[in-house]
Amino acid sequence: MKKFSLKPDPDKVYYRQVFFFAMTVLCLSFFVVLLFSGGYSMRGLLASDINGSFMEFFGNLFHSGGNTYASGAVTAPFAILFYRGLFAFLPSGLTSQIVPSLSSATVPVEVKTYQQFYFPFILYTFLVILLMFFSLRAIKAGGKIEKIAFVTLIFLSGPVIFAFERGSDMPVTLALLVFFFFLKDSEKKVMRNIGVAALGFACAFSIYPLLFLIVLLRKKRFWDAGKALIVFTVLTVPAIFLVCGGLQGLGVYASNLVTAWKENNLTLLGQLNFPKCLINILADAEVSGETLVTAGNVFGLVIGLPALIGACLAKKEWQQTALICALIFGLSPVCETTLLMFFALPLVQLIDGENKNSPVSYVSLGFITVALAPLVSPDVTSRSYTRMFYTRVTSYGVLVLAAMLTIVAAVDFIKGLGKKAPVEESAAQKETSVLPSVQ
Amino acid sequence: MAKKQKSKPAILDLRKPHFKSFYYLLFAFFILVFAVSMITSDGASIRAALFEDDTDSFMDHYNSVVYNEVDDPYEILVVYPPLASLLYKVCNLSIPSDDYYSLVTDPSELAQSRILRIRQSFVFQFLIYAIVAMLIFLAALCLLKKGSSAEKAFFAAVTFISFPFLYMADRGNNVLLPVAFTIIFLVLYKHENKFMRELGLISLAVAIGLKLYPVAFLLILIGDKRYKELARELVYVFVLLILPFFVFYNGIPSMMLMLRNLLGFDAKRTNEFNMAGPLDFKRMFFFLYGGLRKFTGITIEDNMREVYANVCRYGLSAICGIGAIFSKKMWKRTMLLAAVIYGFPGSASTYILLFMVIPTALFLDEEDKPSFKNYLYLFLIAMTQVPFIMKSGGVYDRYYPTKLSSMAVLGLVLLELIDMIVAVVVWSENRKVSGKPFWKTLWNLIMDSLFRKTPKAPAPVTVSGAEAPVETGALPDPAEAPQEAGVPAGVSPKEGGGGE
Repeated sequence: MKKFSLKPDPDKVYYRQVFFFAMTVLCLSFFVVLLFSGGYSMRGLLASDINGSFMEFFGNLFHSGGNTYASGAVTAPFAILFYRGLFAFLPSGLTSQIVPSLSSATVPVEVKTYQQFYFPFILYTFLVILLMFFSLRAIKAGGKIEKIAFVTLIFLSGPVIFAFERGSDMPVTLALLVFFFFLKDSEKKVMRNIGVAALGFACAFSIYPLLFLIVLLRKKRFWDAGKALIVFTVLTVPAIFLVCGGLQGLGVYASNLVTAWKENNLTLLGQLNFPKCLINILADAEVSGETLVTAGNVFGLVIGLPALIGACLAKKEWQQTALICALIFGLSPVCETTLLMFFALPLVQLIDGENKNSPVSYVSLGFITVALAPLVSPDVTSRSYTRMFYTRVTSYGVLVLAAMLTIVAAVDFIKGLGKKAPVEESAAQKETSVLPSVQ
Repeated sequence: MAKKQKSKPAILDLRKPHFKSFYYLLFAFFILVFAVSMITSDGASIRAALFEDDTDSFMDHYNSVVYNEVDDPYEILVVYPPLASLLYKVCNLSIPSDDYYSLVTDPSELAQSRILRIRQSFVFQFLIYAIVAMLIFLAALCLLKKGSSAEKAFFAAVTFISFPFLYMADRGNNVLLPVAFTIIFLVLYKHENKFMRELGLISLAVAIGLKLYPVAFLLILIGDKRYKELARELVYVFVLLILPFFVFYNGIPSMMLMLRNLLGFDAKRTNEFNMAGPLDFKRMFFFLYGGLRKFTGITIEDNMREVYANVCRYGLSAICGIGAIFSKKMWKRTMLLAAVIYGFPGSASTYILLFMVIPTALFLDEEDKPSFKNYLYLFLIAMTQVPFIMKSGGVYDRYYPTKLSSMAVLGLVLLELIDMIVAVVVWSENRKVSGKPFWKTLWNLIMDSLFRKTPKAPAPVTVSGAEAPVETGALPDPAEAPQEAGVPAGVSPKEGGGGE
């Protein structure tokens, strides 16, 4: 009979155990603190607009019925087409009564008092939960209990709770990306194509996943990357002409993105992308606003460009995925908490696929867990809960993770230059084999 | 050169069951009609699916959260068991007090302010509750439904678009959790692992503690002769249903108040053919009588109508109970239990039909006999859930959808009654062969069903028009499906005797 020992076995890895333990403790702590604080601690995680629950969804829904980009929206064209489909279920009379202008930047919160408007929201929420549940359950290796536990922890993670509370459609993108990662290396060609198509769908729904084409290009699967782009194009181009006002609308969309970038750079509330990480540090220094912004942008390039190269060169798939997720978060024009949910992808690759103990892997796991955990803490000065703690910890955590993995990728690449080609091949095969195969 | 024989496509081979195709195609048709009607009616056809008051979405949840601010919510007409009340109490405690008191002036008011649904602090606890409930339900569904992940996902998607589910979501009702825990009970109570079996029993107790309806599923343990498990289950039910009254509320006075509230809870509908809403067993009688009177002029004396209605209520419930105990097929047992949960209480609600997802999953996985009767059963089960749209008096409302689902429930129970009658006829023919007196044979039958091992079967007798029953001596199988014994004959002593 084996003796129970707390001493770790050097031949075993403990990433799974570390993640489940840490994340469970953090999630439970969040809810315990929520009860003990009388509910006030929720303000440490959620957006400050106390009447804005679900309003991202309702905003997209009603804007899709009018001139969407005139409202300043930055929603991708295919996503607008999706919302337009849901908009068709709304009664026109009640819509025009409650929402007089479909192109107005803000939608009245009174929409949340009508059943007719909640109906498409209910359908949408079902779809999101269904997609997320089954995709995460599929990609996670292990027994039934482990899978359910993993899915539950992701659903109760900070970014996912934030996304559901705002009514963000980022969970749909995450689910599609999970399907991509699950199916892209399937033994069956049909399944591989479905996986690639899922990436195309994800890119069409939200342009951020375009960066994940690196995953295919790195493995020289150029035709698969092309298929994903074809799916993206087939979905996006008709949407542009059907619901976005054609090329003129596309121009407004691009302009909205630039405006959002600039406006986002002017505020230090909320999440910090790479440029704002530096701006935040220098904010107290006597430096002019313009100089601050320029310094921030340069800093963003200094971190972002090597990280992009690192993503192309990373030896391990989870490191590549983590760098891509960091780039999406760090270079996003509208850096949102919801973008952190993409870290569920490298997380599952790490805990299921990494079979060597290394400090880099454990530290990376720590940062990824921090990015996903619902962390709250009262503000030291005001003794009340604000998002300051959460946004700073997660933003700088992603920055450090990106820098660390970039250095690791560079070191591995340099080491690899001195070795023969077959080593790289065996590493690629190993990355493929650790992923769960499609039944 | 030998000619290759073309094989028939599987879907055209009627010797094989096509229950899944039948069910999903049926649902697909109704979903398509619903979606098209939503667009063509400018959203008006939603009235066929959801609650009449279009400003009351999710208020079952929000009202319950506010009611549980008081020390004894049963004093303000709450009908939920204490476990559910405690759950709402926890939700209440997670709302910041400054937000709470800015919107809630009197927690005892029946209908709270609809503005609660706008404020983030109120929405957040509902969101967490909904996410957790959905996850538990999906996990339970994955345990229950066999097949690939794609098939489970598809089944879940169809369930989500069913009328009971949509109605439940719109109301924000907590029936999802009792259904989920009941499913977990059904999956685990016969598990080979002792801990899992206990977990299954505890799950049923949790389900009963959240909503009393799942108490009907205790008949599953009786039917399986699992009396030791039944005894332990009653202990768990006591701990999770009765004990909380004494620990968190005022004990027996609170319990009496809850019972009083439950008995007084009635939809207050008219007892006529044009009555709105779903029909419990009693109202089914009034509805059918109303139709009979309207179209044929036949009347029943006023003082007898209530009598007949009660006969209908208790009679149909008895059929469900007997069938749930004696039927061999789990899908049929759970179907009858779902029917009695819907039909017996004084006020039927559409979301209670969510329990029908259990027999649906079991039927699709277990049933392999492609008989007309089984297709009829499946059709009626589907009719309890499909998104059915039909105008009534020129407007979209819930009149026809609720009548369809209610009549489908009635149809299921009556089909079971026919099965029972056929089984009794076959059994009585076998009794003649055995030569024993009628009452002795009946007594032995009941004892065998509930307590003893299966007795030796005498020679089978073929009833005209029926297949020969497989087991006799006990109540034989109904004509079309001889393997469906009225008594669980052939059940092993370990399984029937409530093994360890």
